[in-house]
Amino acid sequence: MSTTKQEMLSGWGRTPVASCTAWRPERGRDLKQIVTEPANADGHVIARGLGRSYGDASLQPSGTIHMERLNHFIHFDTEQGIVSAQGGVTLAELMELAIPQGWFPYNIPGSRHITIGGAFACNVHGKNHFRDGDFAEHVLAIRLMLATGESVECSPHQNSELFWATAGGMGMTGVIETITLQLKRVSSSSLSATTYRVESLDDMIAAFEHYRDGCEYMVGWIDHMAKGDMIGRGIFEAANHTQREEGGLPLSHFTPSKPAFNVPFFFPSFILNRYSMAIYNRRRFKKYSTWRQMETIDFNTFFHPLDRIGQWNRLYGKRGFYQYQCIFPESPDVVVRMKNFLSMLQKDKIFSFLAVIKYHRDGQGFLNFSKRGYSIALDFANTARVRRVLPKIDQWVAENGGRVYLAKDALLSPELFTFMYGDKASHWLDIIHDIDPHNRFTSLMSERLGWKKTS
Amino acid sequence: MTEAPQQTVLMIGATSSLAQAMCHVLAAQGYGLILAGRDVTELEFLAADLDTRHHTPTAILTIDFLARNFSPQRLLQQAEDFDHVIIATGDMGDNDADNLPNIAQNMTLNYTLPAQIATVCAEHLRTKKQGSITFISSVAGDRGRQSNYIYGSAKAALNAFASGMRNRYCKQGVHVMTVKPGFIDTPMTWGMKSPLIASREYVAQHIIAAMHKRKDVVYVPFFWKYIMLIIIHIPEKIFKRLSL
Repeated sequence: MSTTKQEMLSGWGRTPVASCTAWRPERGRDLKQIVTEPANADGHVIARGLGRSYGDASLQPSGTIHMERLNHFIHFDTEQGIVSAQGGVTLAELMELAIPQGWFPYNIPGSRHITIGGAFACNVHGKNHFRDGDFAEHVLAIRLMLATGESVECSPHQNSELFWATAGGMGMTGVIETITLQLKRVSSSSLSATTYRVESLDDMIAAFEHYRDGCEYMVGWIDHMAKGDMIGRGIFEAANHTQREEGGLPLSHFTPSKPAFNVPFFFPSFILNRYSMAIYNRRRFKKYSTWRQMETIDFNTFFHPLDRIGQWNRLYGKRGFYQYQCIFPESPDVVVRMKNFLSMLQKDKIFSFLAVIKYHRDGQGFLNFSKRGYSIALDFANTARVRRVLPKIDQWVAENGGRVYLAKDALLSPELFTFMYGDKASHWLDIIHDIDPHNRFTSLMSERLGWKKTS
Repeated sequence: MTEAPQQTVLMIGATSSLAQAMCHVLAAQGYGLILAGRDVTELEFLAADLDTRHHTPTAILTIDFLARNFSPQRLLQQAEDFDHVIIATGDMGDNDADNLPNIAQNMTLNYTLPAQIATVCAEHLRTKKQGSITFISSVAGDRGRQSNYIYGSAKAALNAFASGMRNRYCKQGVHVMTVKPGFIDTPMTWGMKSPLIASREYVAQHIIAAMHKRKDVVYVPFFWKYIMLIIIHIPEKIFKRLSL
């Protein structure tokens, strides 16, 4: 029997923290044994990658399976850019392997310290969602271990319903053993970025509309402290991969960056308050001019600025924080809605240190949060006020046709989940019930959202 | 390929956690590898991973060391040519000393097999007048303690064996190294609460570096040398009453 360890585990936001019985298998047969006969009290397990989802998605107190040691590459076809690997391989390892050979993942979320299995289970996205969609759209096939221990090959063509129920399915169908992924060609290890300051949310949206046909990546950073006419002011950034002939950095220049420094301990909670955040945000805003500044920028700086600070989640102190990302479907009054959203948070006196805006297209799969429109991602220190206000915000988002991103969620109610995710979610619930009738795969998230009711 | 002839390492017990980490270090340094182990699925995963990450030429030897008909000579024939051998088989096993078959099994796995394999490999390397044999032993072999003295005594026997072999082959160009790791972050220590657990990557790096320097006996991480120095000097009168 595989040994277990009792651990205090949490998502990246440290909300919640739970004492979990955990395994860390290193061989396929150990994984199979854990899944088929977990020998814990209630027989529930959940697979966990590197625990970079923010809330409770990767936690199961009675049995959490660390997937990080099942991390072998299986094959890399450097002609076609197709890579196969076990689910525990990290995005960092994938980038380290692929970039020097001229290949690049389609989807790069805000951290590369994630497993590709977790990326598929959360169906993550990057700053190019409006062009290239979610992680799962570039996955050619997966091998999924079901509760019976049986391994099933799934792809958009074979067992496609199970494939799409697993994409963004938060681990409810089984454990992702292997993934085959399509990469895209790059000829240099740099991007040409255009960066400038926008004075209002209207300008921000105008920038997104102006650049969306000619750019691969777009992202906006919002100074959440700015009010009134200035609401939604911030910095807009658009970027394209540079061709080597056009002066891009050679592929060999890509270095898998190590954190420049680590946050050595939990900061006292008072350090990140609205005044210190206002100073930081104001300074950041003032750093850029309204002139369009063109620059060549490397992958680490553009995609993973926060990875430079090891364990940055400690900045929020022991109490942790909530990360919140929701979508605003495109409509003639989308700017007004987003302004209302931002000012509503300000009126409730909850402010976000970092607020990020991205443009999305409609997503695929059963449990996909993306719709054509804009998403705003925010983080809030874990305080009683925030816990009181966020459910109200969930309600507002639901009424405005939006959805909350599950990989970052820790507070959504089952009723609002059903309302936001609609018919596709009820279909998904039927699928996961059929594939896992004895509720082997459950997490604190699935318990909170009432996904696996015993019938 | 490069002009210098590529050296090959025979890794015995290649799918163990530490052995996999050592394979990655060696592959990154350009060594070829022969992976010997019991679990063919995991050996294939390891070989594919080494090939994908480092373009390392690997050969797989599926061998059930515990099978009745296991023969070290046959292992050698199958392994073709190699320059170094690292013997990483071994298992803490069950310390239930009252269960008599346990003692024999532990001895087989941690002493008899490594000793037999090393003997046939040494014969092969002696004809080449070069190369090295590395035994992955344990700090547990330095002094018997109530919690793991079956494993510990097997490792102690292995240490004496290695020391004798080092003496015998010293003048023939074949180097023999004894590695005594402390706690490493592997399935063996999963669930253990100790601040002294080292990462497998760190331990692997240091073992391979010691192999290059042709060290005789190395503790990894280094501080175990001093911990064990204290432990072996505690008078038996006191030691027998301790619960270490």
